[in-house]
Amino acid sequence: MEIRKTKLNQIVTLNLKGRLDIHNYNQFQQQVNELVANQENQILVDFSDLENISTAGLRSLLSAVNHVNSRKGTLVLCSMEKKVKQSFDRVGFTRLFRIYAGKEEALTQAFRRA
Amino acid sequence: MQDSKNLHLPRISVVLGSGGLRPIASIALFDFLLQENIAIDLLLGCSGGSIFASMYNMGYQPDEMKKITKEFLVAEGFSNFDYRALLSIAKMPGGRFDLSRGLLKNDQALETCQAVFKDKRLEDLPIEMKLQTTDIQTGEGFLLEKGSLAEAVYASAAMYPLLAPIYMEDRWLVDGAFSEPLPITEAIVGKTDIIIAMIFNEQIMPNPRNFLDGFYNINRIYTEALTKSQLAMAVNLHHYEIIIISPAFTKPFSYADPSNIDELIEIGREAVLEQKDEILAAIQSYSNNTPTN
Repeated sequence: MEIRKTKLNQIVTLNLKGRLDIHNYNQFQQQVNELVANQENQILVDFSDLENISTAGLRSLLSAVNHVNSRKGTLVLCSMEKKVKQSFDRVGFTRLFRIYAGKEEALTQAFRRA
Repeated sequence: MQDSKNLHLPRISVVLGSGGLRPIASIALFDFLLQENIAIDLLLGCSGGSIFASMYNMGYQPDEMKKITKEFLVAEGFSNFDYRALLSIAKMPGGRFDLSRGLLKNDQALETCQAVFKDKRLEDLPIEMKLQTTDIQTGEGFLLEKGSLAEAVYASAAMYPLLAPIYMEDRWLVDGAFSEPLPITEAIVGKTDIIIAMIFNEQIMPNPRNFLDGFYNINRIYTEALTKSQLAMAVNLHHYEIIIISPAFTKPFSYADPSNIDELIEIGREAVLEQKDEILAAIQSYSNNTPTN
């Protein structure tokens, strides 16, 4: 998996490419931990290039959002492909995250409220 | 796959959820595991899932499981009404209710279980197996891990009030789907690394034709809600991967029509095929990355 980081107006976007699973969930968690440690806790995770996510990947996302929430930050998700969305739905995770259809929608709605 | 040397093998559990006869689709999973020579360390079943987990653990091959299902479960059906129980609902003379009764007498279903599972005991099976039931007096989930296999399978699938409870382990037990339709928590407690969970949820019928359809709809609704809650917790608690196989049952399947069996298995096969690479990758990844002792 590749993680591309960009920052605009205090909002960090992490674009995940490939698949998030047992092989690389640490890499994602470490990235989020570093952001939070640097007070960069307005985070958008863009799934548009993510092909698949396993349960280890889902677990790491939950851990990341809990970590960010504990620091009064915001972590939201956007642009999920159908297969990835199904993985969230299947385990009842959809209601645990704020998920937006597209990046623009997330940027204008999620962080405006935060 | 597990014959390879120098591999640290994961402990693998297979969890089969409830779903009437839809869990017959698990034959496709057992087919795949046999083909790939993937051994199961812990088998967990609930309701219909218990029936097929138990058949597999008895040593029945997938083809035999299919044949048995056609001959016994479908052909005999469930039509042995307890008229005293029915009369009691209408408060008619001769009606009788007590904790041991269901709307159907349990003799026929128990005989069917005994014919399939003979005098086997849970604790004597080659693969460690636990079957989910519900204690009807306390509402607690209860896992059977010893005792008559036939009675345990009956208990796990006894959809009260249609089917009567059965007394085992000092409890009146009914269908495990009322408490844990997917007993995945036990796979975590049982320290398995890779959990293969097969769920058999079905879409609800928006326009039920009768009260029985409505009753099944309610079952579908709470089963799906409970399953999602259990999966959410399991994903959060587990230390490795859970592979979820969810066949797409896009229409209701009758319990009594043997012609459904092949279609159900085929739907299961498609779902297994979708997750096949995930299962193999998880095993390979575990074996490659875990140091041998």
